[in-house]
This record gives sequence, structure tokens and C-alpha cells, in this order.
Amino acid sequence: MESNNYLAELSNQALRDGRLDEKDMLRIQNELWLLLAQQTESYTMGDSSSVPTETALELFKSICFSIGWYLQETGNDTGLMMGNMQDLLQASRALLQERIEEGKKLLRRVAASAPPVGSRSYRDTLAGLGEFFRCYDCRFFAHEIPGNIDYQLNQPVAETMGIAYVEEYLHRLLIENKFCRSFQTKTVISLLECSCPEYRELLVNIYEPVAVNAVGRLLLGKDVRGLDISTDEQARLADYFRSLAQDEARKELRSAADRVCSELRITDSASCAYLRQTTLELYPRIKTAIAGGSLEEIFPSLRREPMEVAATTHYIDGETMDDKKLRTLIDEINDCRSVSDKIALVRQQVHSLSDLVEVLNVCFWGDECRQLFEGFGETELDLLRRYCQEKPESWSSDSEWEDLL
Amino acid sequence: MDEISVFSPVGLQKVKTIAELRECNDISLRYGLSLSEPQMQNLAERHVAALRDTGRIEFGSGILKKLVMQFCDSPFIFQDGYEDTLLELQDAFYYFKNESKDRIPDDELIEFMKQVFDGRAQGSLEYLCNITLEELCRNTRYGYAVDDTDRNGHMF
Repeated sequence: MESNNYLAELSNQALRDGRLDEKDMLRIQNELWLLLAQQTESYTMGDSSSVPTETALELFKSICFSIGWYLQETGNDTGLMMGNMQDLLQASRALLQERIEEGKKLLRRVAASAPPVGSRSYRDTLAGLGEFFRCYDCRFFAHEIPGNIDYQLNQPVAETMGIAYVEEYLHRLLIENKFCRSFQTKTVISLLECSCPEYRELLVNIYEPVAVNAVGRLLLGKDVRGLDISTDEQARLADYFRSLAQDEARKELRSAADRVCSELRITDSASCAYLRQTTLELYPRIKTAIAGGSLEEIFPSLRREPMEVAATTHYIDGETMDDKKLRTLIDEINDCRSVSDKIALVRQQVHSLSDLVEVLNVCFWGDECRQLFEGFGETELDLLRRYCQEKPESWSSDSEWEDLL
Repeated sequence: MDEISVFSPVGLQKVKTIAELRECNDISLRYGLSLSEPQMQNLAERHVAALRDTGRIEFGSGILKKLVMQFCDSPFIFQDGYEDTLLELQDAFYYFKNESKDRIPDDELIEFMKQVFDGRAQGSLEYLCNITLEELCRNTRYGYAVDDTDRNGHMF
């Protein structure tokens, strides 16, 4: 789905073509308005006759997305002219449910074929995709994409919404996985370490360097599975591309991509097209790199000395309590007679920075804060200091604990 | 098509609100309260303005009918200030609906407003709007129910 609002595009196009007239448009708008009223009533479960505009807008976007997506998926443009919006929405829900189930299966395939190279963003994205299927609400917010999907694909999915985005994202990720699985894991890891030493922590695509070096090796007439391209070979590739005009180079790259697929016994057309696209996008980079004198950054060598990586510290907050539990804890701490009891409760029950801050705001006053901080290590104090630094200058807590850090 | 306000049949909603208020007159008259046509027109217009000012969209039956039905038997509302009272209650209703982050159903919120209006507020809209409901709405964020009381037995 190329557009965020296919329904609007389709109806506007139909209006221009004369397939719909002003009267039809009014009918459609009226039906959409009635659908929005029904959806709002279902959403509030009849408890509220009104909703904030933002909520209504999201409900409306969901209706438009669902109907537009359904018309596009079924290729049934005439449905807009003939059918009523209520029926189309119902039909779209059935199809959405089907696609959700298919998407779950697809995610399992992606997870099973994930390249075991230790990329954190990849791992987090798999978790985020699982979250998507747990939280996706196709009834009221079909256009939303809950869950964090951070991992960068080599060919990003165009702006789509809801399940349409995730479905396409998973298809592309599976293509990348299958390709990377054609190579030995240790070779892929060596290549990634050479091309981006911090790839485990950064949002770096795994497929791209593998695909590029495979194409490079094919152009050199070597086994594509090796992935290494020496300095001499980089120079040979530079000479090779220098000798080609732009059109010829593009043609050669396209042909090389197809031959790589053939060597790796990748037969499905989507995977071949994906590699072809990746390879073609390589040309402007090659051209610029040749002008700069070296193809080292494009076709990295596995023998390159790994770059030194500066040590960094990462802090991952512990699990926060649910609000009810936190309220109970705050009451308990406030009911304590002695500071030592308060401190003991904090030590036992608070396991995250955000919970600690909540407790500090309302439970520890003056000298109590000082006594609590005396028991903290330098790391804990440093985290609290950083927390305060990130706050606006005008910020201050009720208990002013930050002044005692 | 994202601009839903374009489709909003505001005019129809006004007509509907006026029709509902007209029906309410039959019942409120038993308590000596009624609205004239211009007053109904004004209330319907202010209804739209209240929704706009509080950033809300309403479907189906508006809240005015419910407010009239709930408040018409109040001993603190008289014919003289009837229209103004309804206007203030309407504004307050949407304001507190937002303030409570929509966690209080319409009926419960109106019931509570009435309970406090006739009780502790003794008919004072200022008390109702500025003190009690704010307190209620703030506390709903912390999970207290409408009729919960504090340690001393006072309602929130």
C-alpha cells in the first residue's frame, strides 16, 4: 500500500473520473460519519456521548485505513461506488484478522531464521514485533503500529500503516534473513565487525554489507560465499567501475545481482528483486568512493584491523511497578515511623529509577533524603544526577531531593 | 478525509439538541422550570462552543438533556437563573470530562455533580466547579471511585 489514505485518494480519483458524483461523495461522507459515531459508542462502551477530538480522529483514521486497505487488497475499487461503508468495514475486519494470523506465522519464520550475529536492535525489534501482535487493535486503531520497530531494513518500507506496514516489514526482513543465512555466521560477523565495529549496539543493517561484498566477489570472479575483498581486489573493482559508463555499470550490477542469487540458489523473485534494488543503489556510492580514491568503505576487507571502540556505559531501567502497587508502597513508606524502615522498604521494593524518583518526590524529606543517599553507590547517585540534568532548569521536586545529590 | 470536522453535521446536532430540550420542558415544568425557544437556541449554540473549546466531539444524544433531567428537581435551581445554570453545568461537565481523562462515565459524573450541588455545595456552582469536581477528577487519576472517602470519611 503506497499511500496512507487510499480511501481518500480513491474517492477523489473517482470524483475526477466521473465514477462518483457530488451526491455519492455526500453519501460516503455521511456513512463514514455514522460509522464514526458507532465506533465511538463501541469504544466508550456507551459510557460517554463525547470523546476528545484526538480520539475521534484516530478512530476515523482507523475506519478510513481499514476500508481503503480492504479495497486495495481485494482490488475491488468499485466497492466504494456500490457498497456501503458499514459492510466494507465489516469485511475489512475479517481480512485484517486473517492477515494478523498470517503475520504471526511470518514473525515465527523471521525469528527462526534470524542471523545469530548479536545485533541488539534486531533482537529488540523482534520483541517489538511480538508486542505489535499482542497490542494491535484492528477494531478501533487499525492504522496504528504499537511496539518498537527500530531495526533498519536495507529497503525501508514505504509509508504505510497498521498491519500493512508490519506485513511488508516482515516479508522484507525474511528476505534479508534468508540471504544472510546463505553465508557462514562467523564470516558474516567478521564482515560486520570490519564494516561497523559497533554494529551490535547500533541500528545497522546486517544484510547490506553481506549483499554488497557478495556482489563484489562475483564481479571479481570469486566464490561469493567468502565475503572477503582484499585491498588489491578493491583496487581491481575500482578500475573495473572506472572503465564502465553509468548505464553499463548499472547493467553489470543488475546482472551480478542475478548471478549472486543463482550461485546462492535463491530462486524466489522477491528476493532477487530485493538484491537487484540493493545493488543498483550501490552505484552512486561506488562513483563517489572512486572519486575519493578507494572502495574500502564499500567493499570492506575482512582482514582490516578492527577499529578501536570507545567504552560506553548503558543503563537499562528495571521493571517499573504498576500504578496501584506504587501507590500502596508510597502509603506504606509514608506510614513508617523511622527513616531506617523507609530506607529498608525502598531497598526491598524499588527496582527502577522511575519508581525511585516517584518515591523520592513524595516520601523522603530533608535529612531523610541524605540518609537514603548515604546508602547509595556512586553509580546510583550518578544516575539520579543525570536524571536531574535531563530535566528542564525550572524543574524541582516537591521534596527537593535533587538539591542533596 | 482526516479532517472529520468537515463532515460534522453541526447544524443537525443543534436541531436535535433543541428538540431534546423541548421534550425536557414537559418534565422540568413539574418543578417550575422551562426554557423558551431563544434560550434553547442559545443553549444549543453554547453546546457546540463548549465542545469546541474543550476539544471534544459528541455523537448521538447530547449531554444537555441528561443535565436537565438530572438537575431539574434541584431545590437550588430557579426559573430566573435556569438557563445560566445549565450553561455553566454544561461547560463544567466537558471541562471535567477532560480533566478526568474520560475515566468517569457521563451518567456517573452528572450524578456526582448533582449530589454535590444539592449537598455540600448548597447550590453554589462556584463550589461545585472549582473545588469539589477538581478534587474528584484529580483523584480519579489515582484510582479512587466516585463514592470513596478519605480516612476521615469525607468524600473526595
